[in-house]
Amino acid sequence: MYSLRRVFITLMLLVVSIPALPVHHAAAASKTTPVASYSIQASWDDQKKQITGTERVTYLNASNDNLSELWMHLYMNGFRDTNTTWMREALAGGGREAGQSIDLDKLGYIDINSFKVASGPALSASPEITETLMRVPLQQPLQPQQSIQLDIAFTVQMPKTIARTGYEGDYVFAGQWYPKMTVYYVDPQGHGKWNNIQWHVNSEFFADFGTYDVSVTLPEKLVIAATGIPQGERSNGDGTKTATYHAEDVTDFAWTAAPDFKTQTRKVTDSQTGINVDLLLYYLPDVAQETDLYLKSAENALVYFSRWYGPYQHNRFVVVVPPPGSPSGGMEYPMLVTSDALPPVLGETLIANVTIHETAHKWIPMTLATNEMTEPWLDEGFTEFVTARLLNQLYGKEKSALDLPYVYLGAYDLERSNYVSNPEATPIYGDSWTLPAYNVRAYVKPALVLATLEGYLGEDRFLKVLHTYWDRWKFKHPRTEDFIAVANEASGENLDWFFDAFVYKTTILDYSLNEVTMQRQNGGSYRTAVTVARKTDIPLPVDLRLTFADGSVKNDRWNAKPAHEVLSYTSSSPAVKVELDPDRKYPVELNKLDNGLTVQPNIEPAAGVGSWWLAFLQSLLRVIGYAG
Amino acid sequence: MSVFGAFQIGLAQTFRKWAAWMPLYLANLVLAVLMTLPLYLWLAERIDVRPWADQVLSLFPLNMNFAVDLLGAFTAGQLEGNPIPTAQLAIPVVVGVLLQAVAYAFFSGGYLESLLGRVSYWQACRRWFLPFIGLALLLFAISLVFVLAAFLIITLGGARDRYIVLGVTLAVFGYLVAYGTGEYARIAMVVDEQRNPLYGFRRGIGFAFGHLGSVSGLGIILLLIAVVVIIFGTAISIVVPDTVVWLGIIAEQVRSVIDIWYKSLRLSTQFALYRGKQSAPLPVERRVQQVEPVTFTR
Repeated sequence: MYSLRRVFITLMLLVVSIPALPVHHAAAASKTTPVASYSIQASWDDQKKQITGTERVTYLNASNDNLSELWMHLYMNGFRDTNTTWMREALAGGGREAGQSIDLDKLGYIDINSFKVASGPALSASPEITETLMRVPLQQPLQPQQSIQLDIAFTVQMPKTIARTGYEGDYVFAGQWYPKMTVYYVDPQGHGKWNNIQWHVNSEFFADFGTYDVSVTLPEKLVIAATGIPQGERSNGDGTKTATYHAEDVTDFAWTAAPDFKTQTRKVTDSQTGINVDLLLYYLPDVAQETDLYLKSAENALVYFSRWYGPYQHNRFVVVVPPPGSPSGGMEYPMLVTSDALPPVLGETLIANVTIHETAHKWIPMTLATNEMTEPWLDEGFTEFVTARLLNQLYGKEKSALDLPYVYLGAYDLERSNYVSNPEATPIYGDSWTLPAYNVRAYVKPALVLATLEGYLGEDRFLKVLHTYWDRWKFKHPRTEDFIAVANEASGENLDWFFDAFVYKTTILDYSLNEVTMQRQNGGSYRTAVTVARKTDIPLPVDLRLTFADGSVKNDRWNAKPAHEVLSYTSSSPAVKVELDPDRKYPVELNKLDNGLTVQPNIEPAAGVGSWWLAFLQSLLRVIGYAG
Repeated sequence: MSVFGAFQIGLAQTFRKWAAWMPLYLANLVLAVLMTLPLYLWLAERIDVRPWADQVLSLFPLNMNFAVDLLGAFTAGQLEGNPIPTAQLAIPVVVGVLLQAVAYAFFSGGYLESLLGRVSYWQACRRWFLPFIGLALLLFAISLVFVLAAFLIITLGGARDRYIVLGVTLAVFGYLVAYGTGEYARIAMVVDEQRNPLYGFRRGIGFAFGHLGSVSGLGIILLLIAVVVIIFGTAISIVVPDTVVWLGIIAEQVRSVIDIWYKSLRLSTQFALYRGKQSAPLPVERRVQQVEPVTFTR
């Protein structure tokens, strides 16, 4: 007979112990139909710095075309030798690797050891590998909505960290490390072509959504972090352990390990958006004093970007801080980012910048999965923009990029500093590898253009554009024209003229305030005439503000349709100054210094600069002229 | 003559003979004002009526946002075919440097002769002007030889690190030899009344290397004084607020006067050392007190 008291105590113990059991968040129901799913078993050889693995790829033909061949990326072959497209471009000084040294004795590659079709159309011939691309010819075409399963065995030789992936001592970061399907990139009618583009140094990545089940066997001493939800770690009894992960609705899987990773966790919730995220920080002892900053930055990013775009779509997020100076820093993967171990003397905003930027990529391209290869501005430009916008909100517009005791700089002006010296570089629309000034084209100018669009539309209309873009295109592959269509619809206005000027052309925006005259009228009032000019071809309406001697202001908007216009205002108090775009809503404007005029001149500034120049010249004359 | 003795004499001379080195300051000021005018007028036309103009005076902390705006304005000017008139601003500087060298050649002779008291100041200026111009050209040519030699070494060495170090060391050495001994050359010419620049250069080199210990000792004292002068000048720049223009102008002129006083100190102390090491006695300005003979009467 069971003692009721014993049953009650047992039940209570069970209830109390439930929180102590390892909590695996149940994978939420998949939000999209998986197109490319992977089941990977990988083993990391810490001595040889190699990964040996097998994967089963399940690929769904989600298009309306018959596919007679498949294409896969083998990104690690970009590091095979100095003759690959990627290496040639990197050694010529291109890409983010410019200035970094590549250890040519420790390059990397991926070898395919075996390739079989587990189910679906058979191969018509062996796969052909050309650098980072593998063509898989099929005997019978893969029909629309038909799936194929591929079993692939591979070996990866990791390089000494180049371009986001590799090892440094006992630390390893595995990004783009497995054979990966390219995207069959379709139009709205479901017809398309393979995105079988060789990997270039300026190019990032593009993949379909799917489900990943990955197990990684590695030495027990290593602490591992990865994309996905951990499903458990088991010791193998031979000095190794196997860690398993499951991820849904993701386009990639990355992992990292080091013996001395420490961790901190934080729960991030927001009642406005409903997000509930486990935030984990993996860091090395170098940055032990700054952990709160990394966590705070990631938390702010998760909350604010969820409000601006839409809720973060997963319930776990990992931030990894790699070793100082590691080329694996500053990169995004689904559910995981790498920040940078920056010295705190550079200031909080610089450290926050990297973490926030990489977190912003969770929205684009990790969920709004744009093609980073052919339209890099759609992910980097948007990410750079929202990063600057958030930094301004957190740290103030003047000091959000750099805030040190002796010097400061705002986030939008940091972007401007790269743009204003070369504003005609190239249009921002275009692929990542053929056009120069990649940083300006993909990051800087798009960020300024989007900020200017917000300045024109106003915050409410602009956020409506972002929300609509998110709702309509998450878990899909939007292109530039798709975003423009959303902007036109959500703003209630045809903005083709705006995007035509700033995205497809190299139009420069520039206004000037040429003259202000003021006359006293009969009756004691003042009439102020303001001559405004639009120096370029884009008629973007702009704010105008008059400030009067009694402290009052008058705000107006010039429609900028004519290239020049004289605007007249009557007031009871004399005007003191007039300004165009006084709140700097158009950061893409080239010359801001001719946007304002005072009615009365002030000679002190010129005299002050003149006195500095005088002192400098006196010193120069003495040093050189008195020699001997 | 010990180094400290020469220093004391020279220091006292700078205060007694202040009227003799003030023309150096005035020439420096006038030339710099003339060279500044084009910039001031160009700037005034552009910023006197701009709301942001006050920002140009606020250097600390450094507002990089404004610096970016300046860069944007510069680029816009370039694109509009209306760039900063660099040549128009730079040419007066080059001309000014040359005129400053000419002024120094003129007034330094007067200053050195004032230490001897042999002829009037303006007569001395005229007397030593052309020889000192010759000396300046000679020193420039000698330093140029060293610079060219350095350039050849670096180029022929394939711009490798050790050749760069060797070349730069040679150029610096040449500069020090040419101009470090230049002051002694000038002094030797005046004291020995030799107008030939070659004589001056030979005597200057000979004196410097023949009394290396004393010359170096005096050089160290003067270097320490220079450090104090630089620190003082920097302190003035920090203390005086950028935004009070008139105060800044006064502060800069105080610095200029101190700099030129320092130059006169170099000349005076080196002059005293040179004279002290010569066999001829120093020409001492004596005030001889006439004493009436005392007649004792009983």
